[in-house]
Amino acid sequence: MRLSALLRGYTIALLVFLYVPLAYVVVQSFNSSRYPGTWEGFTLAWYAKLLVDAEVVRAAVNGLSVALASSAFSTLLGGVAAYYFAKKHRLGIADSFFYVPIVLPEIVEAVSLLMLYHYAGVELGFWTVLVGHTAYNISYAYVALKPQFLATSDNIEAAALTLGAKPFDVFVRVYFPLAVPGVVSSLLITFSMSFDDFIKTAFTTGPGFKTLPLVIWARAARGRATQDLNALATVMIVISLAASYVYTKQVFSRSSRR
Amino acid sequence: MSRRAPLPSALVLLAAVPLAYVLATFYLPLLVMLAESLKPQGLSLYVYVLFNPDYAAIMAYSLVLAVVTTASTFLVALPAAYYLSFHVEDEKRKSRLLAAFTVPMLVNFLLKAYALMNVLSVLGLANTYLGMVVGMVYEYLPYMLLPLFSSFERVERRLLEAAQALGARSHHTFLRVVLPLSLPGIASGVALVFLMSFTEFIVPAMLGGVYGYTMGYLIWDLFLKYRNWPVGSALAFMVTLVSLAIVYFYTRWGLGYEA
Repeated sequence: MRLSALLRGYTIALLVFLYVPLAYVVVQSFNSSRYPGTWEGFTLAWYAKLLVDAEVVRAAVNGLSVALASSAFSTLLGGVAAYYFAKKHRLGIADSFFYVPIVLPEIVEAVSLLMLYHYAGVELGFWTVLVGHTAYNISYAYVALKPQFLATSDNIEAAALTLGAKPFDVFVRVYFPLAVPGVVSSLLITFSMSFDDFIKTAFTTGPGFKTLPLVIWARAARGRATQDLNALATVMIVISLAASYVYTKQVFSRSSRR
Repeated sequence: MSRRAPLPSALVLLAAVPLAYVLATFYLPLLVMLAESLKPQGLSLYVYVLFNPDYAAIMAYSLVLAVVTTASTFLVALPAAYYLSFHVEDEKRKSRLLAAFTVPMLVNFLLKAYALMNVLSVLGLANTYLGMVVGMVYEYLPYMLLPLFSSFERVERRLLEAAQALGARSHHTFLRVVLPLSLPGIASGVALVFLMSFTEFIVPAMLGGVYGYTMGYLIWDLFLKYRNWPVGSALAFMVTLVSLAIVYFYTRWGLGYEA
């Protein structure tokens, strides 16, 4: 029993270690002190400063548009692939094909795509970033959606066909509704992969097209933490935690239902 | 036998789109990269890169950092994963605790490194080797904890009772029953964290100061600063081969399993 108490204390301490840095940034973003550190009073000034920071607003809009487009495209394309290979019951080769982009270090993907763009003579910017993010997002969508399509049993399909549904209707009216939870997780995960992406964006973007991670990198690399950076970080942390929470909750409720 | 719907031919055509897309934007660039690395002097460039003392030193340094990171992450995650699986009885509480560990996974790497930078500088650990390793463990913890936990969950509980009934002390049970049975999860976590940490450069760059020049940083510089594409490509291609080899052996040995 003593061991159990010890392990429990350790696990709690580890969770504290995971969350304290995030909480520190959040708290400091409301601190009226010019630099992070001692508490000097509550303020929203750093958030107000963010809203009028043209570079930040621009980058937020850029990041949102790439992430929205990429999550929609990749969920569609990854979904089609997942549906097709789940139906064909031939997942071995398809799995390897789509898993490689997930396991390969991102820097490799990034530099190789940069060279392809260079030799193809493409102008770098919104489109090149979007295409790059979608390249790995299709794999994440495939992984998120495959189990959903596999879980829909052939019997349900046979029933639909017996009742006179056309094969296309089977997809739209049987498979798709049953796959909705997978579609939601796919959209969430691909959105945040794209919105948070730093390495691939850094290599495939052109002058003038920045996203928030690039702005944070450029400013944090200048040396130290600042309060408006803390405010920006807080906004992004809250968004990711919310998305992550929804996603995790869904995954857990799905696995416990099984 | 149930009747299967014939696949609509439009769908077959549609399925070709994602395949073509990934081929063109992921696999084709890898070939371009290989060609780029071979362009100036063929394979002898690889020999040059491998035996160049500067590059070799950075590779060795990154390798050591990846090993240190993987080992530390394993040791830090192990007791918590063990606790979650064997000492939390209530299923609801178990999944809540597990979720608490996994939720930060989706927070941006860069943001987490930045957040940790704040705390490390308060502690006087910013720009130290220790601070950098703390940062790596901080980022990779859930990736180790999750596979460890799920393989602990698969360990048949009756075996533990049997071991106990036969007189094994609890640490013997752990070392000789639980650990061997959890090898798939351990291998999975170790492979994953090693792969990611070998080319990691956001954390070293932000938290490591002078200790932060790793393989990932070198590749970054070779492309964006020195514009030495052939050498950068050769290094990146070697990283590709190492990564694929790890993943291949790992699945080949039957250690891979659906989480």
